[in-house]
Amino acid sequence: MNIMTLNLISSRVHYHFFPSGHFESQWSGCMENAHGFEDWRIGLAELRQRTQNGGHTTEAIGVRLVHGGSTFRNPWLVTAETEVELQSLSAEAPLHIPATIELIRAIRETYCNVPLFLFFETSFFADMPERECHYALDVNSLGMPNLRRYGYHGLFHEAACAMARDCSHKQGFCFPERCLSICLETRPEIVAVDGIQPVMVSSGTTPLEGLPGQTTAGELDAGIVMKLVRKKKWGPEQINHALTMESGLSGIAGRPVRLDEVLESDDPSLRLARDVFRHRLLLACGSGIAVLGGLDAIIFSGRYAPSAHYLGPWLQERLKRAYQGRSELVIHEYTLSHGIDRILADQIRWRPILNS
Amino acid sequence: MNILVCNCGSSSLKYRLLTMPEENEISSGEAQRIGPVTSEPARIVHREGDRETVHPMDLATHQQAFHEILSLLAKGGKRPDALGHRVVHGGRLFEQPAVITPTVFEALRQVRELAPLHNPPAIDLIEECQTRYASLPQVAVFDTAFHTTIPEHARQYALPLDLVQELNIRKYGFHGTSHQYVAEEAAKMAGIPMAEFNAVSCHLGSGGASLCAISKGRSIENTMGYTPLQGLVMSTRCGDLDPAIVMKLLSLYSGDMDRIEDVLNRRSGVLGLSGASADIRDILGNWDAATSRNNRFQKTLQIYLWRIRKYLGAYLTLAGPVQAIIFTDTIGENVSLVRSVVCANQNYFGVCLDEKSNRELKQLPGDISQAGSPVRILVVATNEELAIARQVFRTLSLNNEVKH
Amino acid sequence: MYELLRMKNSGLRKDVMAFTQELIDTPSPSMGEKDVADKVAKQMDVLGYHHVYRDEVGNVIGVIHGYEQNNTLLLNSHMDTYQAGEHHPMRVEGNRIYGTGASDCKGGLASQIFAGALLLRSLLPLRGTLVVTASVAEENGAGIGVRTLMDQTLPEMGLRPDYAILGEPTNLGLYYGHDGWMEMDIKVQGADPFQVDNAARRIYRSYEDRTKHTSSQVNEVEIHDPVFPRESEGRVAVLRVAKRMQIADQAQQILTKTERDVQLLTQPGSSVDVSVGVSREQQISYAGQEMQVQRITNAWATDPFDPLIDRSRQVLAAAGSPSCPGKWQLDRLGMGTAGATLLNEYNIPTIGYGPGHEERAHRSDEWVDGEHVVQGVYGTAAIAHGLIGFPVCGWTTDDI
Repeated sequence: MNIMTLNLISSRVHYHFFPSGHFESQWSGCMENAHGFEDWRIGLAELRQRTQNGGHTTEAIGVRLVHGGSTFRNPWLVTAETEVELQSLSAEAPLHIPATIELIRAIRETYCNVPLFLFFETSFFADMPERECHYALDVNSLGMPNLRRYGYHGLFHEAACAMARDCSHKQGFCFPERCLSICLETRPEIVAVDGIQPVMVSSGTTPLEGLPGQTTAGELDAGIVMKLVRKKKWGPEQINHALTMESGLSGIAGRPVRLDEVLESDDPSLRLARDVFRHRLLLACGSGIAVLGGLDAIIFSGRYAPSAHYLGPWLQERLKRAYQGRSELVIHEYTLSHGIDRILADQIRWRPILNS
Repeated sequence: MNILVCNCGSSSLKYRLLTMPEENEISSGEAQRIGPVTSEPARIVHREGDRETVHPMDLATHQQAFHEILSLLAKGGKRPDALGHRVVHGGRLFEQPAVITPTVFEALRQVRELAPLHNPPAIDLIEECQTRYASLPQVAVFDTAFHTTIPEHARQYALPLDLVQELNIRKYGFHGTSHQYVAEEAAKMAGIPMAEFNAVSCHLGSGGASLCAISKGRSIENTMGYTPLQGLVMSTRCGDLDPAIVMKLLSLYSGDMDRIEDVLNRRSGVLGLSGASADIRDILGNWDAATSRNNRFQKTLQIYLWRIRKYLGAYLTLAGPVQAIIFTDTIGENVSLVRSVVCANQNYFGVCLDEKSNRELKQLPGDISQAGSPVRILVVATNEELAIARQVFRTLSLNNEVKH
Repeated sequence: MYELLRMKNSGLRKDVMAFTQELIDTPSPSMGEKDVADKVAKQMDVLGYHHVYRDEVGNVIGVIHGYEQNNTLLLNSHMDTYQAGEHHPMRVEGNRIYGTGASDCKGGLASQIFAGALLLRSLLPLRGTLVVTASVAEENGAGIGVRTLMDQTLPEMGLRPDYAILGEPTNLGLYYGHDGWMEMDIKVQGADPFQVDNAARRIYRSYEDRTKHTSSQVNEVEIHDPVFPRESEGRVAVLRVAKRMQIADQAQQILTKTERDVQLLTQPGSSVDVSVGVSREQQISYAGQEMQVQRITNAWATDPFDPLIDRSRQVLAAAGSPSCPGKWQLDRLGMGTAGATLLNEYNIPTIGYGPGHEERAHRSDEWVDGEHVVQGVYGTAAIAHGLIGFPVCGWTTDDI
């Protein structure tokens, strides 16, 4: 099956083409200077032409969405009603969903008879237990009845856990029942997975909460936000800018930094940023072990997954230090090195198997 | 020497007169409803030994209440030789208990607004004592002081440097006096020197609550942060929250900060979740109802316990391997279900709770772990006043001000 | 998010420039706004406004619906221009666009119309409703256009604005009010034409002296030469006096006081009657509506603690286009804004935010900086999003 995956990032469309029989994308690219429905339509038409020139026809398209609430499951076959259903989620991810709806429109116009599948980062977390999802707030009287916690790297976590199960099976180990899945992206995220079900996630109602990211603050005392309003007379927009664009590891380091750089470098100016990240990660791992009642495997994924090489041994050492159980402790470690596009393509490819 | 410990709340003044270093209590009590006259009159509940007397009177200020307390003590022929004051927030200026001098008092003024409800009455009282009872040595003991050992990477928020410096944003941590006291008691029980003691202390009060990770006798992490709002689900405080929610509320309420502060501090937590009571014991009292009928109670309880469990695991990992988990304060001392739920299934950390001794625990301090459990689970009654008195005594001894 | 707005705005830049020039090139004296109205309505249609409507006095209303209907933001600019002498044709010098009404307030009108378009282009979802209105008869009609809008048109459309932003020239500052003014007709009447003449001349002199001796640069009073309308009996002289009004001033008090003052100026014992009233005019709108117009603009000031001002300031700071609150000076009387009507009569918190300088308004060499208009589009859209958009909290445009 020839598969095209499309990923909308900062209003740029990134595409990958997976011809039948290939697990890795054979060609890929990004539509530069394309910022809306019209541009995308033209870009997609060119893409279609290019595929045809190569002697292929696109048989399925996969599009990734950051937010699907609790209703959308993976993969979601787009129908005429999908647009309206998506629109109701616009307020949850205002920068992403309306733009993706436009992209979907453009795809449906260009590739009218090709099945289009949506993949939501939040789907993995749709059935997470209520006790993990809810904040200690009276959501109804606040006028936010749907307020809940999600994860925002569900596709990575799901694929990483599947890979870990697969590997352990091949290696002849037991099925890893209790896993910590750590996604090393610009906004890192950790999930505790019990069997195949996530039971704890570091992200919140938006991707801002949780571990500190490259420029995002992560978990904060709500009192700090209030202090910024009182002392600096800032509004939500200024606070959002400071907390999402100028904070995180870059904020601590005082200059723009990347996560892998922070995790791998010996630069003393990055030490505090690294220690803060490790500290928060360790706390989250501890929480994960407590809610899972133990630990069988740690799984890394995301674009900075290679940094697991540095992070993994340290984490294992710290987790083992806290262990006081009776039997010998074995923590398996896996790393998923696939990009997000490969994950989408795999999901489409395996869909018939998954459905049966 | 007799040390009078004063603990100023926003509208109350708790006190306890102790002889040190013998640690005998001479008398204690509480001035209640200090401030403008309300429907119920202000009063002082005074205890000496087993005898409790109630003295209704107008108490406009904490200072006035303090004078009345001194005269009540004088009637019984007691007078303090030194004063200890609990100050909730010492900011970055106070890492140790401080003997009050004019210089120290100036520094106290600077931290006055850090805890707008609790610091001002305590600092005003210190000022009053300084002028009217100048001969009495005074020591301020800070709730945040125990947490000054939290390492830099744990107290640092991932915020822009300039902002952090401008507003002194960092994790301060609270309930330090209590955590330190119960940790010292627990170390004694376990027969381990404090300097080698690793533990997680769970201060679960009916109002505020926090967990503290203790490594080598020092605090290395606390669930509360820059303010006491962060961390666990508390009676009316929300605890951990996505900062984006505060921003959304700001936008929704057109920047009405008073309303947002009120919501997050006084209408969330157990009260906000249950919609019925701010006291988790009321929710627990309806446990059967909660499991079967009232879905909201059930949810409240689950979220409350789940959050404690997550933090317990985090701190067991951080301070690991630990020798003890300590439960204290109203909920921690009295509610066996909370202890049993948060400790269940923690074999990884070597936590094995003995259900029977947990359920039947009558006397404090008590050990509710199974025999052979690598981690002792201890229930210790907190005694902040005694902890303060100890620190006052220690500080004055160091300053050679103790008159034998 | 603001990067997204900025990027989309630079995409609109050419269209904004062209439309601003087109507006300025089209003469639109009060009551003669039809040509401009046609262009505004057409442009709104082209830009994708969900609904474009024209009411019976000729106001143009463009609506962009949000997901919820609970908040409505009104953007208002007037289409008519003050004619100082003849119409000055549009010309472009560098970034400057010259022509009648460039600053007051066709630049602002273009900014507001495109602000709606920018929000649509950026695909940022709105919670509330955005209503962009181009009104008639502001310069001359003392708010007739806006009144019709508020009394009839918007209620009929089911819209009740919660806040309003005027596109009047503020140099992209946030203005929250101005003083008012009133034109009074002093009518001197008597059987003896010479006595009437003398009285009128004395009154004229007295006011003329007063205007000469005002120390401030700002005119407190302005007078016009007496006119002598023909009436059947006796002799009548009418002097027109314009007077500045502060927030606390009541029109009726000023009238009474003026009447007392002028009566003292007429010679004792003369048989001349003096009366003072607000100047009125009969006007016909371009849409054919006849209306009676009072020449009065009240002072107004939105409460500086109103969230509208604070939120707008915060949003502009976040958008990287910080702005200070201020007030219009109105250094020449006869100018005004619809704020008086919106705030005082309809109780809608109102601010001004628009390109161009107040002091350039009503001059023969009036101009506006085209870049300023483009910047105004961005600023207005940012404020509108802050007030009625879904807050973008915790998200960035970057991949997560």
